Amino acid sequence: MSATTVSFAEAPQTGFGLYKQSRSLVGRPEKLTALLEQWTSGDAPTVLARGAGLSYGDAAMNTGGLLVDTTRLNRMLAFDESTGVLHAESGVKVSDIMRWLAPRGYMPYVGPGYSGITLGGCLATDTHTKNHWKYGGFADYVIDFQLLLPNGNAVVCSRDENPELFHATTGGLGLTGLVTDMRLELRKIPSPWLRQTAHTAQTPEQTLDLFYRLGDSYDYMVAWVDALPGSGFGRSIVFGANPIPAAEAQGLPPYRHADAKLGSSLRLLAPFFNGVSIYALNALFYRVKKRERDTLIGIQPAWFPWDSIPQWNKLYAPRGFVEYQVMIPYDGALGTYTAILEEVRRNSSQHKVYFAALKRMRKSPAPLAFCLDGFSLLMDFGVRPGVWEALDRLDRIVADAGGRVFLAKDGRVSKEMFRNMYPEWRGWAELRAQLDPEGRIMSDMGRRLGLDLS
Amino acid sequence: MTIRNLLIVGGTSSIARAIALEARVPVYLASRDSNEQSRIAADLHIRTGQPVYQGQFLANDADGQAELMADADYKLGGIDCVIVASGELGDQNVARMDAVRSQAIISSNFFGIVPVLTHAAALMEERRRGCIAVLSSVAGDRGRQSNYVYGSAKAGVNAFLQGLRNRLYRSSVNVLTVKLGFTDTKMTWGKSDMFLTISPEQAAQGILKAIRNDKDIVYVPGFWRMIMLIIRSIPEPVFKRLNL
Repeated sequence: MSATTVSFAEAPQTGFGLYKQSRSLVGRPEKLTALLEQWTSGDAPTVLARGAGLSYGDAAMNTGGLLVDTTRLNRMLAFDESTGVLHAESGVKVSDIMRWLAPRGYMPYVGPGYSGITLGGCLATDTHTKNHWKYGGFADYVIDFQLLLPNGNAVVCSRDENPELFHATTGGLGLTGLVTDMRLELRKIPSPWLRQTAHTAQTPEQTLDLFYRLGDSYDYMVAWVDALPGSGFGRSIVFGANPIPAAEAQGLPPYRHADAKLGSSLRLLAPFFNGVSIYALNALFYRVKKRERDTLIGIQPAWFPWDSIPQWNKLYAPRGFVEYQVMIPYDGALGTYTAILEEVRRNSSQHKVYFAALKRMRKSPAPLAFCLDGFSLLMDFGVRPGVWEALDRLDRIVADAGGRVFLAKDGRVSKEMFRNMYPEWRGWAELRAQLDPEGRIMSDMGRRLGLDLS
Repeated sequence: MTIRNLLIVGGTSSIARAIALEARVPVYLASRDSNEQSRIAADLHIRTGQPVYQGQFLANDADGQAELMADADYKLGGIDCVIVASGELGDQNVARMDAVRSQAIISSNFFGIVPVLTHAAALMEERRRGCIAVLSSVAGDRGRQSNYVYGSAKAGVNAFLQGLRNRLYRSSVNVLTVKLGFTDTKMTWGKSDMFLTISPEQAAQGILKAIRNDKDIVYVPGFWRMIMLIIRSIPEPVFKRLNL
């Protein structure tokens, strides 16, 4: 075979939040030999693995460098139905597992809110869902993986073999190498159905209290939070759900993975998605959803609410939006949560929260992983003048409480603030520098946060 | 016809993989790259639950291809449908100055698959059942300076299949020529002047539909029929002056 088989496309990238753009060379290997060739080609000063490219900010970008797109290296290599262990290449998407294995009763223990994310992406962000306080993160179910280092050598990482590298890579934003394949433990589910109940809370205190009080009764919990200024400010609906036992699910339809219907046409609705219409939507949501009692809900809408409108980000076109997601540690949680909401209320004439949700988490063992023992609050802000300063002010409240922003959704936090929020960053960056002394692997996010010590 | 099983030659191509996944029938994959092929075979088996067999396909190896046909026929319990998805686009800019490269491109796209087509035809003619589908290209419809080496090989394949179709008609064996437009695969990745590309999954759906409906020639996607109609209708004295 000739040496000219490496072919790259020069292409633009946009983060899911739409406000970050980059331009890079992109390779999309379909064979392992091509992957290795591209990864080590040296055609650009730096290289980065990229999955579905759906992180919100600049985590999957490498301006002026090379991106190796893993979406065509998406083969399931082995699956043992007795143990639920799936060996798969990192380009396999969660939707592939749902489409092909969920009808047989297997799905990930933990997944993202949209199933079009690759397993590599889930690992690199240690993604979480609404069961984190009980089940942990995606990486907790990864048995081992193969990591391609900058020199093209592959190393196996597990909790026993290269444990430091294992934890540095889970939640490590792709900056330790390229994960070619992993073994992942899937969950045998009794049925593809859940029963969901809504609990209303009028204040932040009641909201947190519901999470503490109902934590043992439910497998999944998430709160929708009303953060629009007005009489309902600070109220919430806490949803709790449990899988339905197989016996009870008899007679219900089996799992069938549905493809998304609505595409980029949502862009046409963007002018109508504003500070006025969001009030009506919010009020409607509260009125309808607060009545839910033991409501039957399918796994796909429950787990992957964004599958039905994967391009919902286009509602914020053209300027984009920030999904500001932060950890609020248990220690002083109510004070922190209230302080954040107060700051949001102060800014709300300029920067309204279009969507807000609260989840409960537990600490992840990985140095750059997001989750701590506490609550995770996410809030969507449209990008408009002054939003960056408003978010910086929120950062200070979060950091003072020992919290942090979720990097998979970030494209704007400052280097200093990041170092404050992730005190283990230096050890992680030093390990990274040993693996990659020439600084070959890098991303726009890594450069922004000063993660390259080499 | 209903597809009961598939022999896919060029089994590591992304279109071949999409076809096998979409068809959800027992499959026999044959290609040169056994390493990649075994990964694809594992994937197909996990996803579809169907048996997946493997063998080696080397272009131009007439004896090897005869053995391959026999093995696939045995394992599949009678080959129902052969899909030939092997071949390479090659680099026209290299090929135009390099006679050996030119020959190699024509060889892998045309000469290399003649044995497998010949063996498949004989087998199915005798059995009076089956389907042979070859992934050709719109490039075979008219020679252009930018890809005539690849295009002429595909034109040769198209003529070969026309004759084969004519011969096998009496034996109720269907021969399908698939004229693919631009598909989003490694063949087109990073190439400039690609437009209206479709995914391998979309291509697979179009191809399987054509097989099921016993079509003779199908453009995938369909609008290429119109584009090529226009391109073919340009008189040669005009066409030779164009920069296409």
